Amino acid sequence: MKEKTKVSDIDRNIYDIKDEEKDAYRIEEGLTREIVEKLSKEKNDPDWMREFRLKALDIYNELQVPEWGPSIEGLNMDEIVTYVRPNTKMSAKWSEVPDDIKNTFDRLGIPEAERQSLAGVGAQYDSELVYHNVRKEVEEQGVIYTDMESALKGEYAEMVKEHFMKLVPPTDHKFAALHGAVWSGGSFVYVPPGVSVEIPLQSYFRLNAPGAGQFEHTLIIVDEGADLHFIEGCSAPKYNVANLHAGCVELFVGKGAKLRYSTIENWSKNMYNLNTKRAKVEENGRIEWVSGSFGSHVSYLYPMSVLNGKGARAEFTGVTFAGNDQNLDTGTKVIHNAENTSSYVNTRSISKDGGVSTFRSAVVITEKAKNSKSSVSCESLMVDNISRSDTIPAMDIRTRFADVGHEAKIGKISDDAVFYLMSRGLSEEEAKALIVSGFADNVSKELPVEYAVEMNNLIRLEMKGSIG
Amino acid sequence: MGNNTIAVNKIPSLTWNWLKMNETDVQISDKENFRNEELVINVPEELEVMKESSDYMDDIAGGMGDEFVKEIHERADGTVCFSAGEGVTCEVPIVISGEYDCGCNTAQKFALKTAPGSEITVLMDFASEKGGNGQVMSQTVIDAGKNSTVRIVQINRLGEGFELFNDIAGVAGKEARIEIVHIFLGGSRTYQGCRINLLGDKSFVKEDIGYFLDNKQCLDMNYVVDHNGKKSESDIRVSGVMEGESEKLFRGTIDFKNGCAGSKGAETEEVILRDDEVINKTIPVILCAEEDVEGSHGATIGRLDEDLIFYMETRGFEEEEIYRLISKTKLIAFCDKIPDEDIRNKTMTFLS
Repeated sequence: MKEKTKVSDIDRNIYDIKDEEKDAYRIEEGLTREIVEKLSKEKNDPDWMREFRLKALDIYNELQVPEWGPSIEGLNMDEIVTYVRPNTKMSAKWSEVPDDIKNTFDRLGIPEAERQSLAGVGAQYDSELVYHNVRKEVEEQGVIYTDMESALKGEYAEMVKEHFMKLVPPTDHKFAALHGAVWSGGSFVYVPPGVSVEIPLQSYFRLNAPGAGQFEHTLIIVDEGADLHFIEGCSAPKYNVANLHAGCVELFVGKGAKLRYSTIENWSKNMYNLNTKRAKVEENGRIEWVSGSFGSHVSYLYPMSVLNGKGARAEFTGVTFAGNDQNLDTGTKVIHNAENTSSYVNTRSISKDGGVSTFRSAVVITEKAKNSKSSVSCESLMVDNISRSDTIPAMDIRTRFADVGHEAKIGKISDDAVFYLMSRGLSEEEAKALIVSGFADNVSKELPVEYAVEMNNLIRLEMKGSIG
Repeated sequence: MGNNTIAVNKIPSLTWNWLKMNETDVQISDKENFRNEELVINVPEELEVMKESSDYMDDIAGGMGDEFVKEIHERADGTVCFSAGEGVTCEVPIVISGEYDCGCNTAQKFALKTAPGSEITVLMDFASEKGGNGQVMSQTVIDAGKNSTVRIVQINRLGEGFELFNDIAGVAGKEARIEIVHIFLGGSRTYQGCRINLLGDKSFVKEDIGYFLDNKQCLDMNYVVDHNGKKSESDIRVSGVMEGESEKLFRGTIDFKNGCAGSKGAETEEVILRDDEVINKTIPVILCAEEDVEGSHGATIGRLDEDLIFYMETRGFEEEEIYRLISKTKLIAFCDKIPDEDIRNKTMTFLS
């Protein structure tokens, strides 16, 4: 008979290694007008951006914390440091990145992934990018992949100004306003018309400083007929104080263009992940979201697709794994705002060891979206009876010429399946981990193989101690 | 003369405010404007009828919410309580007919209490002249004892100017069954709350909801089932047709509480939209704090299945005719659940 195991916390090994703090600059804790002005000065913002930040701060102060999601009472903005600059400048060579930071990214496998399977990499450490590089052949295609600060001040300044926080205005919600006030770092991508980037670009966000916030801004414009796969990864070591991530992703998908945006999110379990992601898709364009949420203490994450052109399409494939001390509120929003648009949502969520997972969605089909179709499928798995799994999907349909389907299921791991696998020689824990990996294969099969392996490793780590 | 604004039909688990689905603000006319009409009630002789219910029944939560309960309590003349003794099975239904006068504001409260092994059926017909107007507030509280069965059929065929505020609050004991049929056809605005607590092991609730909305009719619903008992089961089925500039909001929540092992809950919804100005909102929620449960929800909204249309077209029907035929068939199926021939015929006439 197999011995039962009880593991109080999973071994997050590589993600939990902390670097000694050697910041070049760290702004004081809290959020005031003076702090925002100081941050803007530190970053040498153009005037319009400085004014934008201050206006966003006013909006932040006016808006209320949402009353509908997980509690964020443990997050005290007076104790959050909104800007930490590492002791290095951005470089296009890993050899020029300080050893401790480079070692961290080495452990996370970023340089190796870059060599093997990426067209470009941006690596952010705390509030600034420390490494940014793009393959020469991709550059020669006219693809722009750079950090947001360079884009803001360089030859793409007008393009940035035209698009920055236009999809996610600071008035959207309190943490979008916060982002507008203190954003820092992130990537800017422009893919010219007709250009197809054959292998993915990746940005990786690492937050090392305890009590700090990370507020990177990602702006991607995929022009008419172009094609891009962008991968976002994130992690942080665990501290006893709250950390905050309030990033913002704005994606503009042009006529007939295609963008796949994949994320494996693995923040530490002291992190409040209040992220906002949104895509606007033009005629016959296509956005594909692939999203794996594993980390953070509290998450509010609902990538939104605005299908604004005829024949635009959106796909959302997601998996959420909520373990001990985690309350992950994830899902998606789709606005059908033109004829013949379609959306397909397919999610899985797993709750274990007292974790709370909530799938929340909204599908809106406006009166303009005639002949549109939407299909939403969400499945939840409860691994034990001290956890919680909620499903809150909303639909608002305003035309007769629409086809909308929705299905949701909730259940437990089949005893028969566990018994069968155990009869084939697997331990109960291995059997359950295998079943959960299979349950989440909607996401893993959409990821490049290296990332699918990482995701399955994360599931195996999370399933440790599931028998007890 | 004035109005009181209250929030009703608050969903147990809130979502984004911009969707405007969390709750609904309604205006209730001042209590001075309420004149409670004498209802026609046919009661089988096996049942006991009392003018007051037990106090504990006031504590059973409904779907409309506390603000509504407070308002109806101030306006209704007590509670009519029907009580079925142990093992009593009523062959004929209790029939409550409200033929409301134009300009009438009425509030009424009912309580249904079934002792172990008993069985009752209640038919409530909210009706008026075609062009009538007014507000009708109604609440029915159910205490279904062990192994008893309560069936309620409620029909809204009120006139074009009427607003109906109707609430059901129920609790089901061990192996008890509660079956609810709602048919919404009339009135300008209908606010329907319904909350059933499946407290006993192997308790069961089935809710069949059918509606036909036209012109500027509005239907706002909040159905909640709390699974507390082990192996309890719920089945919510909603089917409707929307035309004109009508609006509908269906909130349906199945809440599996910790400890309700072996429970099952299912919600299904089918909506046929026949005009381009309709507003159809749906939020089917499953809340789960128990591992050993099965919960599901399925919805199809919009047009009929293409294969069905193709088949019907091969039989010589035009598309418009197919939609009319299928819509009518769906609602006739609901009318068949009315356990009184006279009211069934009146409902069919109203529908046609």
